[in-house]
Amino acid sequence: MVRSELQLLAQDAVPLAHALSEHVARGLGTRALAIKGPSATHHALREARLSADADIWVEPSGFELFIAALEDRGWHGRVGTEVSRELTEHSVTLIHGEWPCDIDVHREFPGLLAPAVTVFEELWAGRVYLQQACVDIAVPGLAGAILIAALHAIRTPAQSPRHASEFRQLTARCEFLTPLQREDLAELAAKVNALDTARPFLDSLGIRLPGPTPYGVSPALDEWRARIAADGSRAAKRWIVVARRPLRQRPAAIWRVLWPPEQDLRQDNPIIPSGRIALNWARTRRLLHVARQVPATARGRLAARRGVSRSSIADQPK
Amino acid sequence: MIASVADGLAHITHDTYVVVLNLPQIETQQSPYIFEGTAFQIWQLIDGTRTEAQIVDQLVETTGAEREVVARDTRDFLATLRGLGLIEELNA
Repeated sequence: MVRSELQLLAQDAVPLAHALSEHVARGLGTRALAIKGPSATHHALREARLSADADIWVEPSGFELFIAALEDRGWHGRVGTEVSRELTEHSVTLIHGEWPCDIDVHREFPGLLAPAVTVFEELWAGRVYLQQACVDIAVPGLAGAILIAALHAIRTPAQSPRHASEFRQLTARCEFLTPLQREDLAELAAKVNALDTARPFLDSLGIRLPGPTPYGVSPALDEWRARIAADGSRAAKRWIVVARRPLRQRPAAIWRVLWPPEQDLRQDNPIIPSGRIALNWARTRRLLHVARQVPATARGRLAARRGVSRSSIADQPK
Repeated sequence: MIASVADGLAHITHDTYVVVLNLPQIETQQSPYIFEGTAFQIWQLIDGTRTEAQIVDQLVETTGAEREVVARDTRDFLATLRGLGLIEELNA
């Protein structure tokens, strides 16, 4: 009678994954915050919708232990290319053969540029609790949830209608923030070093900000600006990975982007048919794709050098 | 003996089924259970106030099924839940 014909659905799996994560973190004596989905919905920053994964931010000192504990419970990392790993080094995606959702375990969040320990402590200090699958889980408070939602939207290309819509909803919601809530938001953004990265959003709320940080002060900020101004194009993201390499390693890194090894290409595109001709045709398509994105990549590098935090998603009409 | 849902479970109840994750024993029970149909009906009656006999009475009354069949299903299901650690027995 225990065996059911029903499949575990994402609508149930995701809240249960949040509950599981909270349970595992508590058992380790470490702290975890559920970010994005339930937090954004709780603070009415977006319409309730089905999430595909649970995003869990674990305090830095407990990150590796938390991953190991989930691995002991049958979860394992998704296989990815070296480039994809470098592009998502802020988190590790875990999957389980019997669960229809991922758990994204964050060690930091893109755009929050203060040291990870500082960021986590600031967000933890403002936490609130809500229930997922009848288990209390901690989520960021209003200011933290707004910052995360804004940075997530800014970081995502404006071509995604859903993200553009969610960004509009976020700004509309934030128009009703009280002066004190705006003050909290600006204060938190300063503490977690997000004034420059969230500038397009904070500007849209009319929050007075200090002048932008110039190019060259923070490599992480320069990367962020280059990526955002390029509308998150794949070429821009790959160039960021190349630019992290020492000069002598860059030619090989560039070649790897332009003409990737078979293993990388097939991991990125599992549908490529077998055989050398199909492989080289896929490589050629990749090359043309990169070439088409050169203007966007150049635009991003230029914006970074000018110290401009430009985001097309924030430029869209309300 | 009164049957009660064990402490510490994560669960989501829908109109026709419930999904239960045994967090206290997650090392060995890594995936959620889904109870529907008769199992779901029994699960809903495990509320810390009813004995097994009272659960059977309630099911017979609401479903009109034969007592013998209901009693057997209930006994088997409660034994399974007990074995999994999903319920515990309280003294009446």
